[in-house]
Parts: sequence; structure tokens; C-alpha cells
Amino acid sequence: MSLPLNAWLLLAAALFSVGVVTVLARRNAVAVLIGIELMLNAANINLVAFDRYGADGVRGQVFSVFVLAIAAAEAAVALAIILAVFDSRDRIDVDTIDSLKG
Amino acid sequence: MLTPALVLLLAPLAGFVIQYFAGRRLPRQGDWLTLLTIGTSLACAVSILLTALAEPVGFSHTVWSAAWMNPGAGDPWTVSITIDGLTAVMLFVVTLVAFLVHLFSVGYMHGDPKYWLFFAWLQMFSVSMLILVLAGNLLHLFIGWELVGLCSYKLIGFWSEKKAPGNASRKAFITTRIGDVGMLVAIMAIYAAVGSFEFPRIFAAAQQGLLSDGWMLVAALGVFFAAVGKSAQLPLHVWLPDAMEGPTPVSALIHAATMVAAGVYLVARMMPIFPPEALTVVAVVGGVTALMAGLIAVAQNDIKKVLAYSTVSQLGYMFLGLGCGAWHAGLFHLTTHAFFKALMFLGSGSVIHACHHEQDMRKMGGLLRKLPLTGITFGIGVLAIAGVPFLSGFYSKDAILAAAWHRFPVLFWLGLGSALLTAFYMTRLFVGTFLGKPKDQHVHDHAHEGPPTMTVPLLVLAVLSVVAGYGAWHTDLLAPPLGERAVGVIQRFDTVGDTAHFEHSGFVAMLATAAGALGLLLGLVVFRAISTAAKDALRRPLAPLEAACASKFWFDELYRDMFLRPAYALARLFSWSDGGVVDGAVNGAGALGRRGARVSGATDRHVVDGAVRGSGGLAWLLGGIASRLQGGRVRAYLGWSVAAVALFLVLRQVF
Repeated sequence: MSLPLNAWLLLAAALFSVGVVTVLARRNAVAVLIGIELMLNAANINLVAFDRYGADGVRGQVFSVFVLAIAAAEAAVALAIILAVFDSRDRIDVDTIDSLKG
Repeated sequence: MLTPALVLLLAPLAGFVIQYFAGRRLPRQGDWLTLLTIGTSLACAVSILLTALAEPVGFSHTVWSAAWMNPGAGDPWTVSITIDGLTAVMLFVVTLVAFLVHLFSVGYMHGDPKYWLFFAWLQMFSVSMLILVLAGNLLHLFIGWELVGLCSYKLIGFWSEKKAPGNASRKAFITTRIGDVGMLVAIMAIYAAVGSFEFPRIFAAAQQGLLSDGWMLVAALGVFFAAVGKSAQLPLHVWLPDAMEGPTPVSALIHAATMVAAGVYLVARMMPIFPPEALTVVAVVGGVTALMAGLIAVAQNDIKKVLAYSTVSQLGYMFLGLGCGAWHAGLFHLTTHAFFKALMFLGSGSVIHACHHEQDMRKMGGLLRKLPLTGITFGIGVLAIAGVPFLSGFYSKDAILAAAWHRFPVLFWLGLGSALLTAFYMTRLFVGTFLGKPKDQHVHDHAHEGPPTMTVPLLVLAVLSVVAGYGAWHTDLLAPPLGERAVGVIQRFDTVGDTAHFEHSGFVAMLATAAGALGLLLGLVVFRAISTAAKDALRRPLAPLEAACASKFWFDELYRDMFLRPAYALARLFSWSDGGVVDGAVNGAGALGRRGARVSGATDRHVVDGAVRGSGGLAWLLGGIASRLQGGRVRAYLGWSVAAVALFLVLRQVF
């Protein structure tokens, strides 16, 4: 038990921030997807860390496994959407995809 | 007595309805129908009179009575038919004169464009008069009272396409209405005090002292005021002479024999509620009217006007009799007067008919040879009204003068004076019309006696004028309702006592006869015997009096200045205030409304619409701002989310 919980939390926060910046700053849809993966995994680090330093049991780690599974599914769906967008528009710059407005 | 009474009433009513709606299309325009119905009434009246003669003195039967309205407090209001001696005599007089006038009208109105309508209204008048006479209570009587007024109005104005008859009819109606106010006051006062309209109840209350002296005086004077209007006494006599604009048969029926006598009938009927003060008023008004109207009659040149003022004078006589407590005498005079005055009016109608509607006696003269029958019957009427012994007027006038002699000696001399005047002006009328030389040859040449329908009524009435006086031995029949009891009430006020004692007084009879004879003689001397120059010499000292008489004592002028001018001035004032003030207020209110509407419209347009549009615009504006946030770019949404989370974190740290 050498490292304190805060170190893990700081790591997760840093990773999350990197993910956020990636999502906000990059125009490439694939890069945005990567940013999202980063943020999901930052959350996973938090879950595992709280589990490790908290009460008995492995619920946090089980959650992280669920998150990994959902992240995989999300990546599959998102990549499929990106492919479909590319097919229809020949580009995957998220700023040009603004047909979501009301 | 119910059946004859109902038939008596309903026959002319049916006659009126049929005649009014279908008369024009009937053969002979329906005159035979109206003669038949009024003849039926006459037969019924005769049968009632014969029954009544067999009844004991002072009888009174309510033969029919039906509830009309129930006011809650007081007796229910009823319509009832009551027959007593007075009613029986009145029924006979009314139906007889009405029948004769119908008959006379067949000749007199021949060829009139509204011939059928004239008979319709004659019928209606007969019905109204019978309703009045048969009434068993005040309310019922009042209905008849107003109906005769209406029929009088319609008949005076029968030739309303001319101006004068229209004006005269309105004058008659309005003047009598003024009197009717008194009637209404009396009816209300009596109902307030007694709680009933029924005559027996009212008289019983008066006798038992339930009616206080004040109420009694108010009621009595109210009743008398109504009678003053209807019977054309001072100061409401002005309508009767003008009413002569109506057809002459109407004058004979309504304005000589029946309707104008209704006032006398009413006062006689209500006698038990008359306190002594009220009786004094009745006597004084009657006496003064008798004299004054007699004076005016002397200076009139229109035949009918002379007769009209004579009627006013004779009605005054009747009131004088009533006021002296001698109602037998007053009502007796009513009866005899009905006959001889109707006779003279129909006689004048015959003359007017013969002279092609010339009424000015200065253009007549010498008509006796041309119209012997009319002249002789008219002469009988003159002798009767002058009080020549053994004719009807002698008995009735004597009875009145005898009563006055006992009760009010001053009024006796007034009455005697007017008896002299009556004989005088009647002689003047007779001499001017029938004797002497014809003054207008054209009128004279064309004069001719009327058809038998016109002469027969004259003969019948002439006979009655002679013999009606012998009814004096039946004056018990005229004892008003309640007979003895009512007499008792009068005796309370009457120091002389039994009224029956009035009737035969040799001294008074002598004086009256002398006055009548003197009048006749004077008339003959002045208008027949002496030369024109001598007449002028005689007239000179009397000029002011003659001027006063000729202008009817300026009553019309007085009323014009006292009532009409102020009324017109008031009307002008009202018209001005209506145009200026009321219209101004109304227009102002309208303008104010328009201005208010404009303000409200502007408010609506600017404030309310502004608020509505403003709120829309605001929503639009805010929506525009908000929609800019929804750019559709996912990264921007995420950026806003992150910024919001960061803001919350910062806020959490700060607070």
C-alpha cells in the first residue's frame, strides 16, 4: 500500500481532462471517439481505486468490467455511424455535422 | 226583475256591436235594427217601472251581483245591478228618450255618409247610460260614468272632419274629466273609510257615523265636483254650449235629457253621505248657475245655444232642489225636464233640418205656418218649461222653489228670478223663430216639415211634457235607495224635517206662476208688440248687462287667460328645456360615450395589443438567443456541459 488514494484519483482526473480536451479540441470523429474512450477509462480507474481503498467486495471492479463491455459496444456503434457519415459526406469532421439542431 | 234588466242592457249592446262592425252593409244601414234593440229596452223599462210601482216605498233589490276583483283588504269589488224606484224611473226616461231620438235621427241624419256609425254610437251611449243607472256600487257606476263621457265625446265630434265639432268634443271631454278627478277622490276616500263600494254599505256606514265628518265632506264635495263637470254647472259649464256642435239628436239625448242629468242622479244617489255644509254648496252652486245661465241664454242668437244655456240653468235648478234637501223635487224636475227639453231640442232639430242647417234665429221667423206641428209642440215645451199651471214644469219647479223657500230664502229669490228669465228667453226664442215676419225669404221659402219619423217623436214628447207633471203623485217612487233610512240621515241636517211637506205651498206656487207669467208676458211685449225703436230705447240702459251676457260672462276668456295661456307657456318652457337641456344632456352623453370609446379603443390598440405583441416578441427574442445555443454541433453541446459543470464546481467552492 505505498500510493495513497489521491494519487489514483489525480491520475484519473488527469486522464479525464485529457479525454475532454481531446473531444473538444479535435475535429476528427475518430479522435473524438478516442477522447471518449479516455474519459470512460478515467472513470474506470476511479471505480477500481475506490473499490480497492473502500469497503470489502469487488463491486467497483465489476462495474468497471461492465463499463469496458459497454465501451466496446459504444465503439462499435460509433465507428459504424462514422463509416455511414463518411459514406454519405466523404468527410468525418464533426463540426460539419450540424443537422442535429432543432 | 233580473231578466228584463239584463235584456234591457244587452239588447242595445248587441245592437252596438252589430251596427259598429256590420251596420254599413245592412239594408237601410241598420237603422231598423237599432230601433228594434232600443225598443226592446224600452219595453223592458216599462215592465220594470210597472213592477216597481207595485213595490212598497223605498224598496231596493240587488238583482244580480258578480265578484270582479278581490283586493284582499275590504269588500271584494263587484259588478252589480240594483233596481229601486229611482232606477226604474231613470230607466224609463232614458230608454224612452233614446228610442224617440233614434226614431228622430232616421229622418234627421238621412243621407249622412256615416249614417250607420251614428246609430252605433247612439246605441253605445244608451248602453253606457243604462250601466250607470243600474249600478249597485260606486265602481260600477264610475264605469258607466266614464263610458257616457266617451260616447258624448264621439257624438259631439261626429262631424269631426269639420274643425269646430272636433274642438268642441275635446273641450267637453277634458272639462268633464276635470270633474271626474273629484269622483276619483270621492271613491278613494269612501273606500279608504268604509272599505266597500257597495251603496248600502256606504250609507249604513254614514248613518252609523263610521264615516268621519272630514271624510264625508271630502267624499261629498268630490262627488259634487264630478256632478258639476258632467252636469255643466258653474264653473265647469263652458263645455255644454260648445257641445251643440254635435248633431241635434245627440244634443237632445245626451246634452239635455240623460247624460247631463247623470250628475243630478249621482248627487241624489249619494245624498246620504252629504253633510249640511256640502248640501249648502250644492244649493248655492245650483242657484247661482240657474240665474247666470238664464241671463246668458237671453243674449244668444243660435237656437241650440239658447237651449243649451237653458239646460244649464235647469240643471242648476235641480241641484238647488237637491241642496235644499228636496230630492224628490230635484229628481222630479229631472224627469219632466228630460221630456220638455228633449222635445224642444228635437223641435229645434226639426227647424234646423227645415232651414237647411241654419241655426241663427235672426234669419228665421214666421215658421209657424210652414212648420205647424213643430211650432205647436215647441210651444207646448215653452209653456211647460215656463211653469204654466197644469203642465209638467209647473209641478216640478214649484216643488223646488218651495224647498228653497223653507231652506235658503236668498236662493229662493234667485230661483224665482231665473224662473222669470226662463219664461222670458223661451218666449224670445219662440217668437223669433216661429212668429213675426220671415227675415230671410230664401230660408223661409225652402222650409218644410220633416218626415213622420221626425214629427212622431215630437208629438209623443209633447204629450209627456203635458202629463208628466201628474207623476207628482208618485214621487214616493223617486225616494232614493234605502228610503226611510236615508231620509233619516237627511233629517239629521234638516231643521225643516219631512221633505214631503215641501211640495204644496200655495204662496210659493202663486209666486212661481206669477214669475213665469210675467216672463212670458214681458217676452211677448218686448219681442212681439213694441216697435224696434222702442226696443232699442229699452236696451240702451241695459247695454253693459247685455254685453256681459252676450259674451257669456267671459268664462271662456277667463279660462283662456288663467289656464290655457299659462299651460301653453309652460309647454313652450318644457319644449325649450327638452330641446336645450334634455337633448343636450342626451347628446352630451352620446359624445362622451364616443370619446370614451375612442380612449378605450386606443388603450386596446396600444396597451393591450402592445403587451400581447411584446410578450410574443420577447419570447421570439429569447427563443432566438436560446436557439443559438442549439447549434447542432455536438462539440459545442459538450463544451457547454463542461462549462456548466466547471461553473457548478466553482460555485460550490465559493459558497
